[in-house]
Amino acid sequence: MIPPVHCYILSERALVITWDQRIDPAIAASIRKLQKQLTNQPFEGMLELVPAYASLTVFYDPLRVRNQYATSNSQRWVEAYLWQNIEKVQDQVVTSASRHIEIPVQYGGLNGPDLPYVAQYCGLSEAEVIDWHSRAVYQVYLLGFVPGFAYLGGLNEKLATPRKDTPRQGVPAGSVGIAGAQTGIYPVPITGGWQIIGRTPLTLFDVRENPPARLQAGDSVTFVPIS
Amino acid sequence: MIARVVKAGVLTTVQDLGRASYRSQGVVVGGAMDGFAHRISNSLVGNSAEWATLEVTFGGLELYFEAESWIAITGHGVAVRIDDTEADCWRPLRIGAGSRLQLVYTGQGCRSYVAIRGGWQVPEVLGSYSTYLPAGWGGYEGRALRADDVLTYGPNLPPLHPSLNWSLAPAALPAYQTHPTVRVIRGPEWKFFTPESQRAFSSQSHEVLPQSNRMGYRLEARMQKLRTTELISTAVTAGTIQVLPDGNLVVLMNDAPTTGGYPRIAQVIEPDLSVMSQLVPGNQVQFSLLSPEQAEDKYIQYQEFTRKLEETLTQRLDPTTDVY
Repeated sequence: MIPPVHCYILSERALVITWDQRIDPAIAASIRKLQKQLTNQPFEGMLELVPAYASLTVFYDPLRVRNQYATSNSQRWVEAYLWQNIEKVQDQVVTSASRHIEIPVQYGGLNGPDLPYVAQYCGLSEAEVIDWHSRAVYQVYLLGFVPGFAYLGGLNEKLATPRKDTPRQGVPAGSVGIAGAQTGIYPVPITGGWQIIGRTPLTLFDVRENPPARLQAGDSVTFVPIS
Repeated sequence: MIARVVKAGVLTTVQDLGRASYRSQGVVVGGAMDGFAHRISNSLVGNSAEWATLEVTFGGLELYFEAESWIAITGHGVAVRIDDTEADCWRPLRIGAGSRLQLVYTGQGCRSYVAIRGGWQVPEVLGSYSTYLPAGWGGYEGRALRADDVLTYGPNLPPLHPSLNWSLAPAALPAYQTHPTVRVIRGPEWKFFTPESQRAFSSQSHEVLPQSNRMGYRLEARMQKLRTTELISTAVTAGTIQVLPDGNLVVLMNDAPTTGGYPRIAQVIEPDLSVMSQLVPGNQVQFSLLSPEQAEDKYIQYQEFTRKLEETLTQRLDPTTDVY
């Protein structure tokens, strides 16, 4: 795996392991590796692991760490524990995405009101935008922004389009959009500035499911045009 | 048992300690902004810390109780009236059948908490009762309370001793102020800012701006970056202070997203989030820097103090002990 470079304190009960600050599938796979190692070998008081593009944040309960491991400073203890576990997985080979998910999308029309603008901005026909968008394989790097929102990497540069100047109110759940060099799907209805090019009928976030989000960090995704 | 909402106030929502184990799903933590006030209001009526309370913003709440009940009001910024008689905050209060409770905003502070013996009953969503307004989940039908809503509470715990008459000592309360000093540790991007900006951050007062809400507090500042490195999104948490492109600060609070991409200049220590959560636009806040070791010690002291206080209150309320 690619070794992390640094560990810093986010708060009294969160430490962050960071890699080189770039968006790279190999770094994402290394984060997944460490996440798995810590999930299998948690320390007493470890509460939650939150992966991002090039970091893994570890939330913990300082009181439990102090009591369990008889230490006067849980930050130092947890940091040492994290580096020990990084060492354990250091030499392991990482594999890329383990799960592949196809997302059916109705492009254009009322479902994708900004498709004409994106086509015009990129100097392509609407059919070409759909073609490029549905041909790529995307990777889920992290969930954030709103519940279940997946940050996807892998958008073809040809399709990069700036956000709308004024966010659109009440964009329906399932809307597929482009913002700069990113593409993503709104899991819940929200006001947002992304250029909406289509919509999926799939439910991407359901509080009754476990986990509630359909897409998870590490998944690979393709969009399949439907009519 | 039920209580009817006569007036709901500007923003009254059901809250608890939040849904902390779904950050990796992009789910905001939410929960009571003033966690201490929430926890202690529950203890004052013999409830668990995890049970739901009502978070009342700027007072204005009026409830009608059909049956005799025990409640506690904590937080900062309201005067309490029960049927036109003044009552105190931070103590168990008996409210008679057919009585009316009113929370009147005093002009200082922001959020109060109403706990009821037995707990407000709302469905659990992702392990929490807290209301998350942007997605319309949790709490009371995923929304703020409105007039004519009917709140249920219980299970029916035994009533407390009717002659019970004590309040929490003022020394046990957070140091609520309009110009507080809030303790912070340096953030991961502290070094991104000029020495002048670093000095200004910790030596000047910062005014609370109107665009403040459950997601965060906007504070006036003119922070300048040394470098213009673009950051890629990483985890943030309640208390994270980000610098916005215009140089102002935002102190992220309970409803903030789980990840962010603005530089993090500092982090408010958790024990001081209660004081932070009671600020209103026009108030001034000053930051003082702690080392990470000091911050952890303060955190531990705060947790131990709060737990001890909860235990003491539970003991005092136990009808089998004779401490009234």
